[in-house]
Amino acid sequence: MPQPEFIQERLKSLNTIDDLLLATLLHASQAVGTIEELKRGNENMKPQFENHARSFYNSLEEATVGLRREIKHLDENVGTRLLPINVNKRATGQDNDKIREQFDKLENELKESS
Amino acid sequence: MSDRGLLEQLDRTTETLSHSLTHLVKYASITEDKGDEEDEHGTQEIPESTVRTSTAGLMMVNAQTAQLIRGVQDLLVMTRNIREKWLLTQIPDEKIDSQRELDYQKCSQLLEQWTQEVLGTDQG
Repeated sequence: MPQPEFIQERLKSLNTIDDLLLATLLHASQAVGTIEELKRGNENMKPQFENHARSFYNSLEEATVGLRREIKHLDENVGTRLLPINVNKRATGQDNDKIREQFDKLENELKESS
Repeated sequence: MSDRGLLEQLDRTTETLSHSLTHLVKYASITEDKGDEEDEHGTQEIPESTVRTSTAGLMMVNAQTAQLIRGVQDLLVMTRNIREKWLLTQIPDEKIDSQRELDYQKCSQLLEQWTQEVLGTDQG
């Protein structure tokens, strides 16, 4: 089912936030990896560790700022685009879609036979 | 409001995440420093305090790593929840409803045509 443009935009930015969060974890693991090298006495790993730590904080910051913005969007649209309550929604639209599909088929059949 | 709860959770997780890397590095250095001392003392006589500190450091490193991963997981769950909210609690557009009404008229017409055809073939 195609979503309105605004919601598509939200979903897209949520996807980028997900990517950023994963990048955060990756940078953390890289930073830990470089510190392991540092402990072995490999001093030239220092700038690398610094870089990884910096990108860890950068991506964490970006992700959380984006997430905060998304929560704000959510807050603003309760009442206009979203229902203010939690609904346990079933896929009720599906039967209508199905019936439309069936009628399309019927129409085609009728056209062919006539 | 649920959004306030989300914001609070976000703040909390961000804080723990930003601390956990520093803690991780800090505790990692504890274990390693004590490890060097161990070598100096030789493997036969390891002071009990050293063993205790290095073990504690190792445990803290594990705990911090787990915390880091769990924090990121929490945030991922949060984005998922927001996504669900956008998709499931949408107020449906009025356009879709008007489309449906148009469909009904056409549908009854089609059904009638179909019954005629089926009856016609049955008779013939």
